[in-house]
Amino acid sequence: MALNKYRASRKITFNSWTVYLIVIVLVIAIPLLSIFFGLFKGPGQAWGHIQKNLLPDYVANSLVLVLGTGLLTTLLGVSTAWFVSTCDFTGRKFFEWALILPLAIPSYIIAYTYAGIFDYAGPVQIIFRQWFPDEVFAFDIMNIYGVIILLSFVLYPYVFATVRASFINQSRSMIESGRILGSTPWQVFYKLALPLARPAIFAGVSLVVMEVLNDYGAVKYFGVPTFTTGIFRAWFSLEDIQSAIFLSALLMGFVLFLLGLEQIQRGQRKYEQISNSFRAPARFQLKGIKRIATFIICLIPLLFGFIIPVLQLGFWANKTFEEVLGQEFWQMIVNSFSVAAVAAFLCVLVALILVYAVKLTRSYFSDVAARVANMGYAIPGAVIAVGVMIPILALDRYLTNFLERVTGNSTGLIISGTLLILIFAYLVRFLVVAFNPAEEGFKKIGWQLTEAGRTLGFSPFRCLVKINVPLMKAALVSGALLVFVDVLKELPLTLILRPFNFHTLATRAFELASDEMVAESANAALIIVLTGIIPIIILSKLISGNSFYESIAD
Amino acid sequence: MKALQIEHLSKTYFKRDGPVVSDISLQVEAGKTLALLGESGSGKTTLLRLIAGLEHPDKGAILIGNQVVADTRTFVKPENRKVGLVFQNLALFPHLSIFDNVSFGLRGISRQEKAAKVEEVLTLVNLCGMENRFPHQLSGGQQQRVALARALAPKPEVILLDEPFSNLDSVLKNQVREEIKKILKQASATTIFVTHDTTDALLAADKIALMHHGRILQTGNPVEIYTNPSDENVARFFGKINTLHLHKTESGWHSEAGEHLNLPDKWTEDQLKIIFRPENVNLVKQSECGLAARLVASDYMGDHCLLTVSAGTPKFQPHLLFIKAPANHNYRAGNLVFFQIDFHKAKIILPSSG
Amino acid sequence: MFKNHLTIFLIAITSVMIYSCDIKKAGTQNENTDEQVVNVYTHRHYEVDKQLFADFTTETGIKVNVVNASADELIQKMEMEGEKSPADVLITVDAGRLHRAKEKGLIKSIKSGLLENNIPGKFRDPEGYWFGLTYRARVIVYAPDRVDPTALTTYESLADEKWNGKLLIRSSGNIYNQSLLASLIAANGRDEAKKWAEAVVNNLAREPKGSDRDQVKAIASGIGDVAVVNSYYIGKLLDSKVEEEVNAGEAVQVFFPNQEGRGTHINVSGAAVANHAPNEANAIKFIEYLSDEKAQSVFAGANFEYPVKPGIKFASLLDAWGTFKSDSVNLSVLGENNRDAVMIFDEVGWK
Repeated sequence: MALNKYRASRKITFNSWTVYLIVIVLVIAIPLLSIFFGLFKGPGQAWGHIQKNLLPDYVANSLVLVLGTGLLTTLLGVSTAWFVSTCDFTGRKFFEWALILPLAIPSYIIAYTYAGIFDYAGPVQIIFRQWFPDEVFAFDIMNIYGVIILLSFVLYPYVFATVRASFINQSRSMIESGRILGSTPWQVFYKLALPLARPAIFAGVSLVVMEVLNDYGAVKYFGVPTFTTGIFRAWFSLEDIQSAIFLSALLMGFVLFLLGLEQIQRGQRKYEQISNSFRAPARFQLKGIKRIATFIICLIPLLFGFIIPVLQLGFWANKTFEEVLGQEFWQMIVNSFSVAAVAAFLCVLVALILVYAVKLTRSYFSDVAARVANMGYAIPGAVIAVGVMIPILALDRYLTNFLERVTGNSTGLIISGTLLILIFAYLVRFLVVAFNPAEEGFKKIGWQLTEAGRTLGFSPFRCLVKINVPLMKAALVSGALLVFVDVLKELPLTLILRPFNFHTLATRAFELASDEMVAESANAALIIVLTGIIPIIILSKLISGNSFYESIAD
Repeated sequence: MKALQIEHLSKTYFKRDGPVVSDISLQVEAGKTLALLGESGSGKTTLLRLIAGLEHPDKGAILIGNQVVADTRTFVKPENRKVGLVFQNLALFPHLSIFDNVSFGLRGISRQEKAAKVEEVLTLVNLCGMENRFPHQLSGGQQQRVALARALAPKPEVILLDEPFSNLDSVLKNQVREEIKKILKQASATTIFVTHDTTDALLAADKIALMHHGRILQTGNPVEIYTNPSDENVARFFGKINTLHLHKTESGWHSEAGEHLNLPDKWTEDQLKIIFRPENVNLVKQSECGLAARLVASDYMGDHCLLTVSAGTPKFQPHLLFIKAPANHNYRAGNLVFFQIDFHKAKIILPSSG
Repeated sequence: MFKNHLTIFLIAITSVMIYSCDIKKAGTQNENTDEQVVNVYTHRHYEVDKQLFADFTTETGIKVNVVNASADELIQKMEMEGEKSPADVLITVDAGRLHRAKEKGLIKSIKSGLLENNIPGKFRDPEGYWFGLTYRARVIVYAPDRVDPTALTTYESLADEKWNGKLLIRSSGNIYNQSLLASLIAANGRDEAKKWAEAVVNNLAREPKGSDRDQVKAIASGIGDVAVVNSYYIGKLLDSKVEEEVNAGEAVQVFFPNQEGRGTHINVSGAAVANHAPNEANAIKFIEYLSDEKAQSVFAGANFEYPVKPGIKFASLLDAWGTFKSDSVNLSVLGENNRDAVMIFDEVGWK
């Protein structure tokens, strides 16, 4: 029965959950809004210069990047997801989880690594020199096409993961009836599975696009000016923070537009079937050349997105680990892991409350509010840092003045110098990463169990704790893991907002790399990558859909 | 005593769609079972959710026991309403054992009391010994009874069941219906259930409220509502009906089905529209002065056949009637059949206008 | 009901707070204790700095708290923190940023005989706002097998057509390039500087990208013949653990331009005392320590930078390159011209 009509209403019912919703959204939206209002203040004095000399490049490059990575990640992600979910070939089980691994490699690290692979001291040129001692090595990876290819190889797992989940959920009977009606595997894919997976593709690609738009390290190193590098140029080189904020606001506008598109896509998802039988459809048995071709198609992204860079990092780390590894290095690992764990916990908690509050209040207002709170993901970290510092510093000043009046002693800033501000910034930035799985989790459970709980005398809060949380464990864990990996990789926010003497693996890797000590930075980079693997493997297992909420989805 | 009273209740989700529940008033006596009968979209589930407190009414009041749980000023939250709700898909908690499911609503009592209560309810629903199983280990009928037990355990003032039999196959359905009816009587629970199936409503309810487009068309006990429907819509809901327009001429009564009809004397109007059911038509031999019609189709229903016949005189358009016939009749399509209408069982809907 | 929610909320928030403040304690605790600290915002993140900071603590008992980030971000941070900023010392890798901090009122003038004694006038702010600690030269490197060193003269000569398709340099977002162009503006005026930049862009062997090291490697690969890079990166390549990087470093020769004229463009890595420094005395002590003989020797020995204090022995590699005449323009000018430099880069399409 269509329960949709019970969901949304224009009216807001006021209760404690509405209050939570508003408080959370306000707190998280303040940094974002402080940026967004830049749009109305207009640009600063350097705008004429930017508009004339830089903006066309920024727009063109950003568009080419977005389109290029969008297309390439779709190609890589959808093809591998299809083969892995519906075909039988050598190594399929391995590819099921391995294809997500490139997600563990931060984009700035892949850029440095591939530049290293292809430069004079890298293996490609060494081999080239041996074979053609008299030729000049002309292949150049450090351009916009290189950025597109490299970013696609580390970002396609977003598409792979969402689309694969969709393929798995597509009803078995649909695919089977397609086959009985005489469709070839290609026709089943093209006519049935692909249109049904379209919202999933869009969701995956929109994540890719946001990552691309807020990438700073890779494009800067490769000399490709984009909106994000432009923000920094306006801000620091041209000393016009107003124009920087204006550029950020424009970028945010673009992202809002994208999110809107995704919403429309989601709206059309009504026809997507959720399978009732959880047995996977019989797989297409591949033979001979097709089997080999499929294997190779799945191997390519893994090879370029993970195996090769990790080998190169390993090679460098092997040369340098003796000087880098030490007491300090272990402290850095502890720092990275603990801050990531705390941020992950907080993001999941807030996401859970937010999703639940949206469901409870059932209004368009709350839906929109939640979307606003989720926008931080698309905004360059450094911009968020400023957005976070503005309100926190104001609060800090108020607090210290207050304390001074009460105690008579002058104190330093209370919040700004602590990890609190950093963790708050992570929350603003990565909330959506925990929000999406939580939302999906709620969708899977359905709302009736909560209603059942309430008619049995449980308050909404107790229902959340007793019914939803236990059933959503998998979704919550996967949200937490994603945030964990993201925080581990995060750079600009951490650089700006961290307290004294606080180093993480990412800041270390970046410092060494920006010091042009790429080989030394490989140690920290390798640990980021390798620790990223563990949650990613767990995640992949969750996507494949094991026993847990299968039994209840019906 | 009235266990539940609803007064002028209205609910609109979207203005453009009009009200889903529109000015409904209803009472249920303590210990009785009311069926909310209607096709999908008639607003019956929304009414149920309004009673449970899962929706806020726009207008009107709901009283459970003698307490107002919803009106323009009051809104008692679902968790405080003392209402038990069995969802259409049962909504058993998949991560909890049967014991934990059933004891979910029992709070503020000791473990022993809890165990005793759970045992009591499980005995009632005949599921003793299943405490440690999980919902997915039970059959559909058993799950249904667990859901019922869970709703009954806190001893709610009213039990609400949303399409309780819709997910069951027809054999199981009869069995479950009987069981549930028995259980509810034993628990002497005041019950409202929503259904689109007239058989369910007729068999399981003390009283039926027929809903259509957010309004209640008629309320009454099963016999009343079946035999004395307030209008054609109500009648049509409970199965095939025949309609005839009658008018009195000098030569007697005329209708689409034939002339010279033998009508009760008490019918004094000149123009009439009547309805009657297929079982109110009897096949007769030609010699018994029946009306004649040509057989169009005969649908075999196991214990009887439903004949569709085309009656009528040359003056009129062919007029289709349904006749309930013995399963072993040997008419073929195209044959002439003769029949008589038991006008005493027919119902006058309105004076016929033409 | 409210109670329930609040409990969970508060537990979560307090646990996060306790965790955060615990770290803070390890960091900046300077109230209510007698521990002496100096809080340093630094763009430098070299191993040698860590060693020096540790030595400073051992010697003086003053704990050094460090935040590493780019100078731009640190300046932004100080600006936002205002008078409550915990920063005592700001260290950058170019004079331009120090000049900007001065203009924004983030650093203060200090008088220290020791500093004035250790640091020659051209390496520090005339008004005593900031002090250079090391300097680096932006040199020309070339492939000796393809380029006749006598063909190299000045930065200006890189605009010559003979370098068409042979020149390599990194992108204009980099501060070293901005300073170089700022020095050209100071020497030749804005219009000439713009013409130069335009010609350089035309001569480039490839789009500006990568790091200084990458330019050297590109020469080694044969993509270009000459490049403009900072001197110490050659040292770092030669010192690399990766054999092929050493080869790349050996594939080029260093040339100090403009020796006949104003001298090779140099820039300093320098320090300043924050305007609202809570531990000003310690901050001065800290900078003095870095300017003194011992620290200067360490700088010279480890990082292939030139120590500012006269009379300190250079690293052997720098010695091998010999002494050179450095541009004597006051480094503050670079800061003043920085914005113009960036505008020129943008106007001529130097990415």
